[in-house]
Amino acid sequence: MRGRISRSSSWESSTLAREVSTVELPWYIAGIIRAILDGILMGSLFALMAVGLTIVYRVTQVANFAHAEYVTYGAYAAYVFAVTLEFGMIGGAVAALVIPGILAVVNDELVFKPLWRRGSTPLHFLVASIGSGLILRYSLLAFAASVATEFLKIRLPVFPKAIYQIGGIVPVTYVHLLAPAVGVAATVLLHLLFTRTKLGKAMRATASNPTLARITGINIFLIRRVTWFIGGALAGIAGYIYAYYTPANPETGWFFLLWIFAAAIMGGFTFYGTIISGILLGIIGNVTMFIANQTVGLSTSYQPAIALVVLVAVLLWRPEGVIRLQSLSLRTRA
Amino acid sequence: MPVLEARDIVGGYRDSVVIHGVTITLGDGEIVALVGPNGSGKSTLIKTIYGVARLFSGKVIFLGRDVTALPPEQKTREGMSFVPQTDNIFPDLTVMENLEMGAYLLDDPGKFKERLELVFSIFPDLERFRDRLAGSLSGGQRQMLAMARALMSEPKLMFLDEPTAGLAPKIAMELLRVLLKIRDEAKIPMLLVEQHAKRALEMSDRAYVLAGGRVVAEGKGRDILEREDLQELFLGVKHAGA
Amino acid sequence: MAEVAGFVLNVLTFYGIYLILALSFNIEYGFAGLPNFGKVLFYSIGAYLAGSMSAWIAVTVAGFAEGEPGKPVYCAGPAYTAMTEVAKTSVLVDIGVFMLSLVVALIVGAVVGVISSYPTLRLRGDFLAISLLALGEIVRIAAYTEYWPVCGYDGLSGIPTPFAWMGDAGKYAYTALVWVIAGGVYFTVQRMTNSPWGRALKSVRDDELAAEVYGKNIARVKAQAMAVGSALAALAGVLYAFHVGGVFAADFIPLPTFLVIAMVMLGGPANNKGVVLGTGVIVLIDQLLNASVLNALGIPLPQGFLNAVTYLKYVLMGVIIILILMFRPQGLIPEKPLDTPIVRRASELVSTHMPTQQTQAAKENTSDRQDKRS
Ligand SMILES: Nc1ncnc2c1ncn2[C@@H]1O[C@H](COP(=O)(O)OP(=O)(O)OP(=O)(O)O)[C@@H](O)[C@H]1O
Ligand SMILES: [Mg+2]
Repeated sequence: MRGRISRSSSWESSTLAREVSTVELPWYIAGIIRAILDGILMGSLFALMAVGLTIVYRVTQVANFAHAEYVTYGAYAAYVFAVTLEFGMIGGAVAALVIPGILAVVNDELVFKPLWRRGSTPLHFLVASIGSGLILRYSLLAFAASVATEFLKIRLPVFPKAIYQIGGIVPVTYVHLLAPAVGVAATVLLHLLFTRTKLGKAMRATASNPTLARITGINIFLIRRVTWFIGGALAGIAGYIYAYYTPANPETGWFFLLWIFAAAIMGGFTFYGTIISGILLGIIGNVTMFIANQTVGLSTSYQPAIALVVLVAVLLWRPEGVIRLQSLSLRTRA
Repeated sequence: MPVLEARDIVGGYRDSVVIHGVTITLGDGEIVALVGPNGSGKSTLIKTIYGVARLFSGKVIFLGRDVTALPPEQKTREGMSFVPQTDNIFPDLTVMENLEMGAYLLDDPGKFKERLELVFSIFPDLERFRDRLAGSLSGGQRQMLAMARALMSEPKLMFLDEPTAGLAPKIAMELLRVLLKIRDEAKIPMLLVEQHAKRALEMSDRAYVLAGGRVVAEGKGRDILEREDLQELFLGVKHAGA
Repeated sequence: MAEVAGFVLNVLTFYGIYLILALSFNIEYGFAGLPNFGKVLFYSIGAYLAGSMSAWIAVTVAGFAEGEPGKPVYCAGPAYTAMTEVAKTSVLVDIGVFMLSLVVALIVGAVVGVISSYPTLRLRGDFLAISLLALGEIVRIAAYTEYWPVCGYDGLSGIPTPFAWMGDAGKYAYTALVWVIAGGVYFTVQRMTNSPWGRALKSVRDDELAAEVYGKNIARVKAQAMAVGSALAALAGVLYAFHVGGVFAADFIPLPTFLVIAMVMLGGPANNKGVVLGTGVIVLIDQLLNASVLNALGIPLPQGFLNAVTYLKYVLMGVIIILILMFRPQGLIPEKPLDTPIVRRASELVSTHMPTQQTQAAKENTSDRQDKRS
């Protein structure tokens, strides 16, 4: 357990840092370094989650409230495969990609595609996604509450060890490296997909002008499925990494939902904009919280409000987004 | 045997019927003009035939095959091609990527190169702007790109919905000349909707006049042009003198 | 039997409260096309006002002053006893705080509604919904964290309810009171939405541009819709606080909003009768599918099911929402088309006259020509 940081206790432990740090680093420097490290970790996860939301929104116009549930299901899929079925951590990772991916595709086939066919508005998609979210979240809770109580809180068996202590007190764990690494890998792969492959370009074409995409011969139903799969899979792998970091429960994803939306909205629903906004939100969230907590004693339970304030401020001030990188695709908001 | 035969087409949107039973045919290498006042249903007719708007009843026979029920992407696979009146490019893709999407169904990379050269030879401007985002092109350049995109798929039939809309008269004439050239070289039949009705009737082999969702006249372009009773129906309203 | 009566009473009270809430959402969403997915924010404002004002008055009347540092005095542990004592004995305080809360909540609700109409000018559809939902969450997080106004995460309980002095009969009286108010709200909303104002809302919803062309001040119409909707939501919040006898910030997560959306979608947006029906169905499901209720009603069910039943309830709500959108987006009782002379005349013109006129002209043209030929 040494070196393991649970999110809820990371601020309390800064008091601990204060005592030890007389020998090593000043406590506030250590605290800020730690906030930045944790911020990069969480930010990478937000980016992974939010980029899926962005591409799904671009291609299908669904502002998907159920997206956060794919995060939860990723964590649970990993748990079932790694722990219950003993496929190991790699098996868990594969499950965390594939199962939420399929779940997202099924979600679209059963709910959003039929609604799209009957000409529903984006607002109706949003309401339907709230419905989908309720179904996914609460069926998992119902299952955990009645059949498998060990599901109420899950932990992956291998704990991330501290591999280095900055200044002797700020632990860096595998997860602090894993999350950004996966984030970078996903970004590179998506970039290659969108710029080098016919499929990826067809996805951008569909996002840009769906009717013309059909007229050009693109099978937009296949594109939909691929898009939802990628969105679900990215959310799922983020859920897996999160569960590796700290215990997860059936509501884990739900608590990320507004962070995810804040990142996508801040990024103007552009590909790179969303990724950068996700990472920034993670860092800003942790660092501002640390500073506000240490200086004016602002309670840490305000941390989610940072995402919300960013979200509302961006929507009201610049609804088209703040960090919009136009160099690649997924550019204009429909 | 006609290349395209659309019989008794009743079409429109959701629950509104706009086209009330229209029959049109296109023969080999023909340029057929579709003219009529604004709102007469020219665009809707093409969209209905292509499967973008709703087909209530009727039949579409393409190269002897019944393609009535095929969705747009399948119709393109069969060899049709369509330049819509509005939103006819992918603004978030580069010019080159737009053309690649036009050739989405061509699997042979050699074929793609061939088409690309053809298209660039017709629209040399596009080659210069190949890496620009299509959304940043001028109106005229967009129209060229839209045409080029539609040509990429090696079509056997083209629907062109006001390809010259918004273009300066000189460029518009240029574009129409290009169409004639394509027809002469590739023998592709075209259904052409034109703002400049007079011009369209002059250059076409045959024409249909649409009003209120029905064909009110058909025949040789020149004949229709001479019919006095039709003058005000479309020519008076539009660029009669252009 | 007592359990059944208690259950029925509870369902009826919540029905009345949620009816007001759903009607208010219907004004905004159904009529004006403003998806106020921050409904719970305005609901919670009513509850916070009612809770904090009545608690403060009660402790003042009781002469209770041993507050704890950094908290409102009524958040101290012993305040609970002091307040319930006052509630049991002082009719004047009980009824007075209730009336005062109603008035203040209506005013504050309307003002906050007008302020919150700012996003409706900048955004529409899904993003408007998301921004209002986020606003609601910000307020909930603050109320849950701070001791002001309703004792943060401890929550506030033991506030004087209007009929506390009556003992057990008070419950019946309160349900009746809720329904008198809900009935009044229903008839008021019916009249408002059937008035020219209601038509103004619909015209903004259906086509902002056209409404503007016809001289409607869009910003004002939207602000009015949000003001009325929010005042009513705050009123519902007051009734909720006095029904429960306390306020817990943790209750005001987005779930109640989702229930209200389900009620209006199920019943029929822009149809108040439909909303009465939809609210009834959803409230019944919400209240019935509850382990303690099912136990109290003596319905024998396996323990595993009872453990999961509240969760399954929300699964069911999700299913209902999706099924309505797919199969009956107009709701059980659809909106009636406007039926005034001018609208009838206009729709006649559009649907029949115009096309035939055109096609007839065309026909005449061709037949003329053929005549000449022959
Ligand atoms: N997407 C749509 N949904 C419903 N009705 C439509 C739609 N598009 C067009 N219409 C209606 O169909 C009728 C015919 O329109 P259409 O665009 O086919 O005319 P057009 O002959 O192409 O006119 P123009 O010369 O202006 O391009 C019009 O009355 C129009 O209002
Ligand atoms: Mg047209």
